[in-house]
Amino acid sequence: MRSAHAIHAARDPPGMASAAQFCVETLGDYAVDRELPASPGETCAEATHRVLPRRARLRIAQHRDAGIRLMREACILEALRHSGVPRVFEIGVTDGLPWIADELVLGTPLAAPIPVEQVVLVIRDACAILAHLHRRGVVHDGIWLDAFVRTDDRGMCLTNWTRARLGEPEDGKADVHALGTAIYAALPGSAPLGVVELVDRMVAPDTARRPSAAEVAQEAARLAEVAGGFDDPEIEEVILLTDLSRDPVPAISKPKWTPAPALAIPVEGRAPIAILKQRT
Amino acid sequence: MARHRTDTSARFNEGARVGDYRIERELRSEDTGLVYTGTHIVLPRRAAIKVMHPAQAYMRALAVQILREACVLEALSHPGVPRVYECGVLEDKRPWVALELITGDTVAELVARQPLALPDLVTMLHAAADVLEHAHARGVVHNRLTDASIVRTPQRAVPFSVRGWGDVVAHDSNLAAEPSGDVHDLGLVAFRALTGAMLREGDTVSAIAPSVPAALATLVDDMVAREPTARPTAAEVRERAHDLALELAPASPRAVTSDVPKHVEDSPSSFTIRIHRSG
Repeated sequence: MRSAHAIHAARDPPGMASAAQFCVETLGDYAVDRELPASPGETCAEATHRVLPRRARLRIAQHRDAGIRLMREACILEALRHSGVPRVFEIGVTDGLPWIADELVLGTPLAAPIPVEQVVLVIRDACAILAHLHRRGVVHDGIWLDAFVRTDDRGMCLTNWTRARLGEPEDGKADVHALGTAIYAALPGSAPLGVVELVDRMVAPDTARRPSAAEVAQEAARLAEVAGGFDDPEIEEVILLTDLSRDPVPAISKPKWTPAPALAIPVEGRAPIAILKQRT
Repeated sequence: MARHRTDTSARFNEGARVGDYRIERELRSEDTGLVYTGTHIVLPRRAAIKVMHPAQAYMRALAVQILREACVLEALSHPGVPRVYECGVLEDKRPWVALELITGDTVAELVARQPLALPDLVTMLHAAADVLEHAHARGVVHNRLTDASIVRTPQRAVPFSVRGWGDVVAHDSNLAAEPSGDVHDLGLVAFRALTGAMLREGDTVSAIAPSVPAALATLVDDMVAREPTARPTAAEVRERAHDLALELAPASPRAVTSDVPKHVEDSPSSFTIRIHRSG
């Protein structure tokens, strides 16, 4: 068995895609099972702890810059502590370069299109995680749909923390924008207006108008509560009350928009969802 | 396992190194070993580091028990159970385990200060029963639940956490214990908190503390029933505690069952919902 020092990884310059292979069979208390795709400057593998019933993802930095980045990421993940954030198990140094053993997140990455009945739940869960890290001054800076993984045992988990950094709470709105953009692209053909409006606000170019992740999570939770019937096969029709006080389509020649009594949006395989006007 | 950079003193003083942890102070002595608090030298992490007692270094069974505890805790994934960070072996073959440091007042300390308010007691019952249900469903029995092993942890996701898993028994062990024993032990904790007295043969909560709501008194009496089969399961305790919490705090019915982030849950709803069935 080769020692942990027998790493045959090529040292790529920073930012270059890694072609190196994970050639270590054991690292710390972990036995390597198989190689995994890695971020630039790293090699990555799936591994099993020799004593604990634990499977982990091992990542070894290939050069100094990647090592610093890896340690920064480990410290951020450790400080966050949230069920939607992967755990850091151990860190170490081998051959003068840092390595990290973190949680192997098993699940299904989000992919487009998101089913209509799940959109609001996805926004709620994703923004609850973002709100947690933004409150602690952390910006993810690498939000895309497949960074969110749906797991069986702990709900949504946010991965891909390579670019995570410390920032001002206001900087978190960039994450909200990135999530909004990703959701926007993944929206199904017909989605409840409340959700569309929320996504519109998430991608607002003006950061002052863009809500924080906590606000989006809050709003999405409300919408999810209203739309709770989406997941209930017993409910054949849901009256979703939302704010239609303004015309969703810019009026050109209409002097004043008169709200329709009901607007039916067809949902695949279900009875129409009637969206009515509500003034509160 | 990791053996590098580790001091091998019989007892560790402040500043000594165990793995990548710098010892801060000795926390307590348990049957299986000494527990220290330590800080990771790189990560923003404080840990409870359990090291096998030097006097027991020749007892292989104890070494196995320390690692068994780590393995069982690793298999349990519940916010009310301490996480395992890492484990290792000192140069003299004594195993050590770094666990999540759970700080807070134990139920024993809370009760010693002043009687627990009924909603707090019900919350404690609910939280502890939830942990036990999680463990029992995975074939794990705590086996030594006391008022010193239940800790109030308002800063964590759950209001109370359970520590002190040193005597944990898994279903594959020769020492297999009954889950109902944990329910009995939790019942004893609640009995003592409610009545201020130790349980004696024939005692009931309603007889000693008649002011306790009947449903709560019955629950605790059922939990400490002499016959194990007469005791409720941990899941049933959790359910009944949940119902009690609703009774005791009607203004905040979801106080105990919070699984939604607080900032989400607290938001007032400006929407109303009406569900109509077609046809």
